[in-house]
Amino acid sequence: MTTILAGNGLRKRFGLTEALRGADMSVRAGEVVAVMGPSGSGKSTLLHCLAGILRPDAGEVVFDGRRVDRLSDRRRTQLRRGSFGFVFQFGQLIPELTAVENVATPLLLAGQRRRAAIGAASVWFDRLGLAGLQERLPGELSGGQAQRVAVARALVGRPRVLFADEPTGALDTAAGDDVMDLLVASAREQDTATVVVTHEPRVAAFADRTVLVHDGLVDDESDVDKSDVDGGVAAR
Amino acid sequence: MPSVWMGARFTTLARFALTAAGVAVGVTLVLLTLTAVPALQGRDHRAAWHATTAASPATADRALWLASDDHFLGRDLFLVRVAALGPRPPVPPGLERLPAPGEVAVSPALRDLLATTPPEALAARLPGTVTAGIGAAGLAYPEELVAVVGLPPDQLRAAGAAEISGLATTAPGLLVNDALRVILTIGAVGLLTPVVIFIAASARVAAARREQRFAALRLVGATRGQVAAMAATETSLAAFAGVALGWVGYLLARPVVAARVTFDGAHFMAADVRAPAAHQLVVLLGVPLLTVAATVVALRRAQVTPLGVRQRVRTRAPGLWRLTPVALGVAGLATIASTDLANSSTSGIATAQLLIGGTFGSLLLGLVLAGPLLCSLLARLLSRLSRSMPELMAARRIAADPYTTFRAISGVAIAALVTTMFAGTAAGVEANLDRPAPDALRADAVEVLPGTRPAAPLLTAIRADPGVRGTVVARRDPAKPGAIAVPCRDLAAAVNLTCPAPPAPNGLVPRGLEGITRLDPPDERLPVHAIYVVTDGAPLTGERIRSLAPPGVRVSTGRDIVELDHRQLTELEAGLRLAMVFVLLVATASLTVGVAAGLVERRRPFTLLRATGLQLGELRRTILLETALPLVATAVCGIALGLAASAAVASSTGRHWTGPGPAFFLTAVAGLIVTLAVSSTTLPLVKTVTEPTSVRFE
Repeated sequence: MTTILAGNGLRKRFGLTEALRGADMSVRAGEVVAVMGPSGSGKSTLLHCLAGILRPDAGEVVFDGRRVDRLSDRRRTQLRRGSFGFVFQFGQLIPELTAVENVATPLLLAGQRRRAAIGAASVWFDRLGLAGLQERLPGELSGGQAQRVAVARALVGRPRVLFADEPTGALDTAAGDDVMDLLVASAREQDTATVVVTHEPRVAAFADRTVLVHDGLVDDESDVDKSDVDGGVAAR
Repeated sequence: MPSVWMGARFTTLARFALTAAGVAVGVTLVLLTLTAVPALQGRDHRAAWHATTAASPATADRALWLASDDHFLGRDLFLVRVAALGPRPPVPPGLERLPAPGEVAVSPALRDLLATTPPEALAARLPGTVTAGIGAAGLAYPEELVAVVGLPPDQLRAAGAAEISGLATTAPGLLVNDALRVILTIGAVGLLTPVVIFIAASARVAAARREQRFAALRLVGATRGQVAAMAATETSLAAFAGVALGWVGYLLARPVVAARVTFDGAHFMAADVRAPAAHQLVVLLGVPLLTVAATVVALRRAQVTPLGVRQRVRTRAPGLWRLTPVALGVAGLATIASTDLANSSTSGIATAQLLIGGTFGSLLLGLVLAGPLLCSLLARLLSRLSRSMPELMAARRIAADPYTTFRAISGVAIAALVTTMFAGTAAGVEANLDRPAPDALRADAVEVLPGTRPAAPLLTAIRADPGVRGTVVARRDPAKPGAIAVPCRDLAAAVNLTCPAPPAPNGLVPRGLEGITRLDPPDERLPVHAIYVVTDGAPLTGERIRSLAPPGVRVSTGRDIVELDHRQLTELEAGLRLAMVFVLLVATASLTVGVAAGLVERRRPFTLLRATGLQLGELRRTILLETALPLVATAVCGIALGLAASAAVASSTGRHWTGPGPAFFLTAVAGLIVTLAVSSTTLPLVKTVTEPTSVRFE
């Protein structure tokens, strides 16, 4: 598999806090990578730099051969819109839009006609076990249902990379597993590379490999044995 | 505990400042509105002595009293001739003693006027020397023209003076009546409503954050009542600060109101512009209570539970029943349009006035009730037609809560309706003022009613005036009521009428033609009933003729009527303009606060949307659309209803409806643009609040 996204020597400072101190990480096409680490280790900052949400103070981010960190804000926005998908912990759905309209958002933003966009979005409701919930408002969905709608929204545009920041953080174990199952399966189905930030080994278990972040540095970028991860995280 | 919920965060401070400012404006306005009745009552009371008659209660020695309501260039001039018949005659307020024969006491405004007016036009009416000034106690308003002229008793007796032994002390109550109280109440409510909306909008600023704080408190055991009490306390502090500010504002505004506001062409005495103490107390306690109630209601809608604020669910769509008052109002307009007010009897006019009042009330209430429905329909239409994400998001936002959407813009909609209704009516009135009424005294004519006085010497004196172009003498046979002897063609030189038609039986007829239905051939043997003088049109010519008239002779000029109409129209225009500017300003402030609150409320989804690729411009377009569309739509509806109302009134009064000119529509468009521009000042906030780099919130 070829590397589709890479961050090299990434540094990022917020005031006096140095969140990243030269982190390196790469993602290959179609693979699922879990980014783990304790709270405040810099894993979310790493994800935001790789996704072009934050511009690193130093280092480079390369996506598909292009330097993301050198792009203007507008270009990075276009890149995120066209090539990336996002799932956050909670509160990402627009409260006034129905579930199906929320899913169709990326397609509408890309200029697709409404009927076609809603049609394409509706397909995901059956795939993610949300049949019949198309017309519900986010406030009328359970936490697990809302996250599955968010997964559908992230994947509906067939992104090259899916970024998920603590996607199960607000869910119970069963609902979390359910969401991760669907997220990983759907991503694999359309060959979307996935970066999942989590501090839960159970979630990381869904990934092909796990990357550990500690004090702003990526400790190891090789495949990590699950038991090692459990032990390592527990030890910290 | 207080430190938990009273952290001096920026949003808390902003909410505090906005609530305090809203309450302050509300308190100042209500208190100033409450000064209206005392100010008019004060004016009425000060003028009570004008109504002195022989029947006034005895308090002193006897005196002779001959009062007349005169005019000078459209201004009222109260002229009383007096003669003491004993050592302690009744003395009008503002004077130390009754003027002796040959002495004249005048008000300060009349003294100034005398100094700048040719004596034959004014001073000739006041025989004698000005020896005293009338103090404020004897003046209804600062610029009142009043003269107390001392004359010999014989001369006064001959002129028909009444013998009095006391002055009237009871105000006639002409100014303050039930209709005025109703108008003032509606005005106060109309002004206070946008302020309450503004306060409610301010209370919603950063509501989500505050509600999370309250949810945390409920989690550790606070009851629903305790949370409500906390919110109420938090708001009370701002409310009481606002009350203090508002009261200071009222104290500062009182002299300004006295100096600037006019009623019936006159300012008010500063001492009269004062709200009664009991009313002040009610307002100072009532407005904070209203504010707290608005906050508690807003909080109750959020349903704070220990697990957080319940998320948005569907609000019930506004029902079609909301169109009922508008439909009733439109039916009322159709009825008004088909009514012939110009030729109605007194009872018919009273019924029509009730109909007009009820119709306007229905239209105003209807606009407020139908507003959310209109927003909801608009959202559906926009949603159906939407081709882009911003359009869809705006449509859904409006549809999600059309009540809140409309609440923020209701002030603008009401202002649009009332302003258009008035502008349409005023344009019609002004157009008709410029056109001669078919039966009114011509603007350059003067009507002299000699009564029982000998007319010949007066006629000779009038004809000798250099500004007089001609005279028409109308004579009357006391045995023939309803008829005067004058050639129609001659009368037409002074009165607008078409010969050979007789004077119209209804409408604005000169006093001398009231009740006249027939013109007979001239007969020199009959006594003079009225003298119609055609002048050169110079304003002072009419005043010179007035000055020639001895006491008891009634003189009216065409200018008096025109001036009065213009004065009342100008006052109404100025008052409404001021009210509209205020309502628009407060509505704009509410809208701006509402837009900012809506943005802060949706900070998280908007930020995450930007992180996922939504352009800043698209987000701004969404916010602009969800503000501008309902604003323009409801303003257009308000303007349409206002136009229909003014056309109906014009039709019922037999006037030609012209509608407001292009200047009005340009002003309306400019007003909407300004309102949008001001609320658009929140757009830079979109960038700051939804910066994707702040995607991690807590």
